[in-house]
Amino acid sequence: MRYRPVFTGDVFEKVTVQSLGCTRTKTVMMVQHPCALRSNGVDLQARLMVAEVRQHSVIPVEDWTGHVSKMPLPDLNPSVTTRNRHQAAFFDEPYLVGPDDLDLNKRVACLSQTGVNLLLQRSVHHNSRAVVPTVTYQGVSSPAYEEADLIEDWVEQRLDAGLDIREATVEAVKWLREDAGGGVMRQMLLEDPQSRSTVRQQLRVALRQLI
Amino acid sequence: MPIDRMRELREPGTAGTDIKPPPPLTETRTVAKVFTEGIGHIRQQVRNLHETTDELHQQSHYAEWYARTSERGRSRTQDLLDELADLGFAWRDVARLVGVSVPAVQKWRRGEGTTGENRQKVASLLAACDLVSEHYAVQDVASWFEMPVLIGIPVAPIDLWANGRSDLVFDYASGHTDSDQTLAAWDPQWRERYRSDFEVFQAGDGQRSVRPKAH
Repeated sequence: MRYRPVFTGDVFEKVTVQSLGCTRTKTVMMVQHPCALRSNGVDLQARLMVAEVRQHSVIPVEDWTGHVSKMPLPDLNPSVTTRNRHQAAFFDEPYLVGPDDLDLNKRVACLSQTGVNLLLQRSVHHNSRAVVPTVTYQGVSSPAYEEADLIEDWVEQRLDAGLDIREATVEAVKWLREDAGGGVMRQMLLEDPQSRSTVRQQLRVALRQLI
Repeated sequence: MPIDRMRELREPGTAGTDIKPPPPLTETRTVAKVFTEGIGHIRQQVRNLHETTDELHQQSHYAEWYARTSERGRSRTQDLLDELADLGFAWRDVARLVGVSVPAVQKWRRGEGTTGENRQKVASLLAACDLVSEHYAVQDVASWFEMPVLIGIPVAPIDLWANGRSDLVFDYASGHTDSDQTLAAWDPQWRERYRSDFEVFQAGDGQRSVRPKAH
């Protein structure tokens, strides 16, 4: 998880956030769509929107529709036995953060693909009152999720060769944007679930050749 | 009832003209009834035979799967995982298919020990890949596992497997069930559950976006 690119739904603790005329330290969740987090595929935007994460009692699944302003995070701290075990992200308590404020060592959780879809559904519902089925978000977010997976694999392997995380990420993104044949970038192949395994196989071959 | 016997019933013989033969339609009805009963009986036999062969096929299939799992289980978990990755499986999907967390799989990849049960689960997944490729000619098995059973419906063999429905995966791979049957067995409410009035499209900035479907 340490080498995974910052992604929608990631939870960071002890983050300096910008509030009205001051800064504070909060636990926060990235709430923007993956495509809105970066402009060049590597570097995070100068300002990123996050939602505060704090303690909240468990919301039964059947009541989730009644808590539109929150993203429930039950068992976020599974080893904690106090009420702090269960948390929620509060969409009505947004803040801005800069990329330098997001320390990968302070990332405490990443969402599953389903979790990302639920987050997008709930945050869009809260902000626009439109409810889009998670099945539709799957089509929008899954290629970016796949890309994050592949970059994580690449970075993990390339750190052993002496690269730092940014250098390895740049290398991975460059590789993903190469022509996979027929004028189609590997990145584009990730949009089709049927082609993803091919890109993963190619990535393993490419990494072996770099060693 | 034999046809000759029915002819006898139609023949007035010497009984006189006041005894009327059964109307011709009765013969047709009787023949139809005989045929219906006979064919119904055969159909039931075929159905029984079908069920029996289904069971037998499933039993032999599972026996082979267990044998292959046992064979695969001789390898180290690390090597099994490498083989799954070479097939094109994502680590996160391997974790889902085996029923553990992604960090657990990452630890195994680094050579940390696994329980016997988890090692067997990894081996059984690889054994299933062997079976599906060899018996049912599925090419690029990782891709097949990720391919939705029906276009536009987010249910793929990987989802069936991760939820303990290896039976549906094998039946679907073998062609004994089609997409509709597989989805119905998975979730009878699938049509309603996965209905969406929205669609994904390529927006002007080149990114994927969501919009309402045109009606």
